[in-house]
Amino acid sequence: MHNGTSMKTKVRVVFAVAVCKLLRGFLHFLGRGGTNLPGKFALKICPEILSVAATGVRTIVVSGTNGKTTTCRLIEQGLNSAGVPCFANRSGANLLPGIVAEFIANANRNGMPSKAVSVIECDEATLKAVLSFITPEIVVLTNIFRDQLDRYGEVTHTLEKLSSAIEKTPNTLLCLNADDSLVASIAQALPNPCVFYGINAATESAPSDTHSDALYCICCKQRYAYTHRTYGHLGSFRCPNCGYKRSEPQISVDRIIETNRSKSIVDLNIRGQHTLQTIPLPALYNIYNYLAAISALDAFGVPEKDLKCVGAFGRMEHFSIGKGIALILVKNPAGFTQVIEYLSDIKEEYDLMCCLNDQEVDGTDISWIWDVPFEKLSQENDLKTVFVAGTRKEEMYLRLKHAGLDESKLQLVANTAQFIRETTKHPRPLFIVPTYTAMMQIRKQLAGMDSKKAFWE
Amino acid sequence: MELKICHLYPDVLNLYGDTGNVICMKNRLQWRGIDVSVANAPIGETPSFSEFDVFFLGGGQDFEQEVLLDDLHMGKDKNLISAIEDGKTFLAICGGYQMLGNYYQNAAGHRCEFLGAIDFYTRSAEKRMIGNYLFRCVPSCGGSEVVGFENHSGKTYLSSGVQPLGEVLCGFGNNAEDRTEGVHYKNVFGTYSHGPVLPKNPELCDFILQTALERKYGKCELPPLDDRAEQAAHTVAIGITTKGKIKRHNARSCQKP
Repeated sequence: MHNGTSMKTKVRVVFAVAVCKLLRGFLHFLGRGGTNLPGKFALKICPEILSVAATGVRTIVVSGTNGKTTTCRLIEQGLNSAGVPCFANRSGANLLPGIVAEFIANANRNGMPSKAVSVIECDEATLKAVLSFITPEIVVLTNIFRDQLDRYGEVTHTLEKLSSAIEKTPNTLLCLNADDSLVASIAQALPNPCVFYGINAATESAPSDTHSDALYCICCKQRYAYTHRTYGHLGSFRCPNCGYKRSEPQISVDRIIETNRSKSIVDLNIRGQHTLQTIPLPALYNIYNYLAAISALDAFGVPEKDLKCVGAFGRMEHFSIGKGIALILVKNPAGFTQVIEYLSDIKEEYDLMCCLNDQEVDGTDISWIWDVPFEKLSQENDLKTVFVAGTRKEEMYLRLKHAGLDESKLQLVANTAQFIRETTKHPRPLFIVPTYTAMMQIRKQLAGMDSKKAFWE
Repeated sequence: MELKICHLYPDVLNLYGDTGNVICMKNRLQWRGIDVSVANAPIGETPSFSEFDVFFLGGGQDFEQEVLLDDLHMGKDKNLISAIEDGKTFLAICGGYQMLGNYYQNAAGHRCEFLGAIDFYTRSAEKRMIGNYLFRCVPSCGGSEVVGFENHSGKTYLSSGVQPLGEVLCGFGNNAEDRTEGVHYKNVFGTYSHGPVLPKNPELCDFILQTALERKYGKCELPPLDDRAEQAAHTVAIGITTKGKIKRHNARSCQKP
């Protein structure tokens, strides 16, 4: 490189870092979290800033439709308990500007990284841009479900995006969900080394075909046969025509011994070594998140004895307010279906609050709520009242009416903020199930009310 | 009275919440004390077409379309066409709607032969047409205003003499050019509208159900239902559709209803 240009680049890097850090500090000071704005400015000033700020950082990237945030938190905790300091884009800012801002926040003023390890959550459509600047050591793919069709398009488009992104980093180790025929197909298409994780057991409520996002072979379009299924299109698939089939996972849960409101106890199998593990998160989908995290930690070199994740957090969060509040983010039918499964296991009286917003990041197309089996809730005697809020509450109300819920149980909430303020006096445990923008609002308010929580933790 | 609904290809045409239309038709009949049954006809199963009064075809992924066409061309296509000619009621959404036409032509000029039950065709557009939209049904379909969500990359052109389901008030509709939306032929209702379209547009739902009841039982009146929840969802959706539509989606001009 010509000396003058190199000097110019250096100046741009320093300037971009300074602007980003200042702006981020200022926004935090104003009480606004790690938004995209500082990263956007940095990218304007120096488009290649990410490759500078990520130089030499061992990075684990997590992408896929559902479970990104929880998987990242689990990996981060695992690294921490193994004594490996790391940084992560914790606030869920998983587009390029948010990721850039996180790297800059952990770099010195010349843009050189100050920490050696990072755990990065990355939006599926953003992965390509991110991988053109950094070469992660590990990429973890959770699953591919239909999600915000107005934004991502159909599942095969998402698969193509992920695959064409990873093409740029052929040496990166991939941790793939063996049970997801879409995700697992990447191992066939790309030369990368791969580790598979999966669940070697059927679940109690086997899914039906109408809830599958991938019934037909991704290679030859014949219908898959399954020896067992867990949920959605996940399970032990095999194509009777072309022979494409599930790879035997190196890291698996062989038996789900117990699962309840707050945890699951499982038989974890790491390359033939069985241990009894308590996963401190409820619900089947979190077993997958746990397995994804364990395979990433294992691949990263965390010793087997330290392979554990502790503490409850993430996308199912508890607040000590009133009789107890749980906040569960939903984005798509697969996620909401799992939440309903979880609710139907509750053995005490409870209330539910559904908050449906239709901003760009929630998805302006809300039709997906009609693919969620709310009919199951109409059988739940322990469910006393369903509060319905958000910019599309009327549609959600109508969905619940059609699902057979007695209208005397349904209550429209006109003012969400006021409702949340009054939850201190709520007579029953309350489960709040919001879409993304609703969650950001509600979470902030709840965190302010629960002295034990800080928002930008 | 009783109506039998056949849900065609629920295993493949199951995207975008369109199944909500089946739930809605079933409920609005049951709420009025009319018996109703729903049977699924997935790929590989041939229902006895003469048995059913209403057929539903939803939208699906492009990926599975080939699988579906193979299945259709194994004889189901003829059954479907004769059911249509016989005056049976059909509701077809988006991909299911396109499939009733003559063909789909992709950007490279390659044609994919469809059912040819109704004289129209679809060709791929450069830009996907996505967003909330609003149309008014033609008078012969009840004339009600219908609000929904469209998400398609195909532009559909009706041949002359083929009647649309409605006129676009706000959004793209069939092709973003001639302001037509959907198709109405005999008792076939085709539309691009997801949403799903029927729950928050109860007038259209009742109009469609009535065609099936009248074919079977002669002239009949559907007693009114408590539609306050339906109307609330309808009104809010129209508000969102007409607000900011022009700016966001670069659609054609938007007439306030």
